[in-house]
Amino acid sequence: MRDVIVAFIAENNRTELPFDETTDLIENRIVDSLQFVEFILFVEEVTGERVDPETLSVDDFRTIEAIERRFFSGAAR
Amino acid sequence: MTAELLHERSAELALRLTMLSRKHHQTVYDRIVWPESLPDDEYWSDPALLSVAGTAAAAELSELELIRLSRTECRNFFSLNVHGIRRLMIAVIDLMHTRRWHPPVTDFLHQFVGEENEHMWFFAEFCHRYAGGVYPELRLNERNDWTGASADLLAFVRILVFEEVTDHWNKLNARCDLLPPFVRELNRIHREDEGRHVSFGEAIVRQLAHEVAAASDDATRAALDEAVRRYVARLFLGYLNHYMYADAGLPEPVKLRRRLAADPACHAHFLSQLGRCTSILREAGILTDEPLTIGTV
Repeated sequence: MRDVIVAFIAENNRTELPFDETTDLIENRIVDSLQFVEFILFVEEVTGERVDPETLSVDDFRTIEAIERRFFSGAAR
Repeated sequence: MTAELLHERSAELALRLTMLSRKHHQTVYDRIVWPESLPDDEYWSDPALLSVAGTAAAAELSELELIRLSRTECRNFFSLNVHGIRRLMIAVIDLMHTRRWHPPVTDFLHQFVGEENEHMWFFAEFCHRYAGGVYPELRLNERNDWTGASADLLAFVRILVFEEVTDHWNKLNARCDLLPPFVRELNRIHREDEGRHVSFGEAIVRQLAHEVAAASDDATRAALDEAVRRYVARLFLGYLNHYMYADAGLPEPVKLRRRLAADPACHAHFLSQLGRCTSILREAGILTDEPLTIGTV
């Protein structure tokens, strides 16, 4: 699953900055507000579940590790 | 026009608009008479405003689908107003009675915030009564490093751009005889107050834009230009809510959203609603002459 996440972010990364599992994606604008909805759609497509935006916090998208933990670990919030 | 003259004009306008608001504004809590229900076989938004308008996707939809979409787009439009007004009120309240923000301008800002609060209420009330609730906001809050007059300018630019698009929607919906009278009336009520808000916003943006442009180097002006363009692109994306396509029962709602997001005809349709604010920013030297585009979003 991590590879899928990395591939999606790499494809949409407009900054050309390199990143790894712990890179702050928000601070470095690797994930930014213009791609945010597309990111939500990606999560919904992969998980098959509708994301409730009201349960989200910016830290859910902070790093690859955070994204994997929040959306793809199978643990419900 | 000098900075002093622009400042004076804003102050004079604030005085006049405050008087008009106090004289003409009627609170909405008792004024609006909510019908028991609304017809679900009529348009709730002018078809010319729909996100598919002017695109090849529109021709692929049946009349029934367009009517259903007009209802969910109405819900989305009102929901965007609920969230947009929240941010607008926070931004304005945050600067009132600080730095440069004093009477008479703050007299109008207090009026403005009061009226916007009422607008937020009735848009949300409509969504809860007739449309299944307010759509959640899909937004990522980015780091904001702007300070001082530049931060104030961007706050009022965002407000003015948002109000310009909303005014266009209200104008068309208020006069569209396909819509139920109550929906037309709500759009008309909103437009009444917004006329004063837009007048004020244009004056303040003009004043701040000239001030900031004069005090900024090329790099700062370029960063401001980019910030405005990014905001326009974000606003555009907000009008393409995949939940509204799904709730309208349209096939492949996500695919439709992506298709429209990439469609130049959809971009052009949205951008045609903007003009006044961008003219002011170009005149002041904040926006370059490069046409506004949505780009790849």
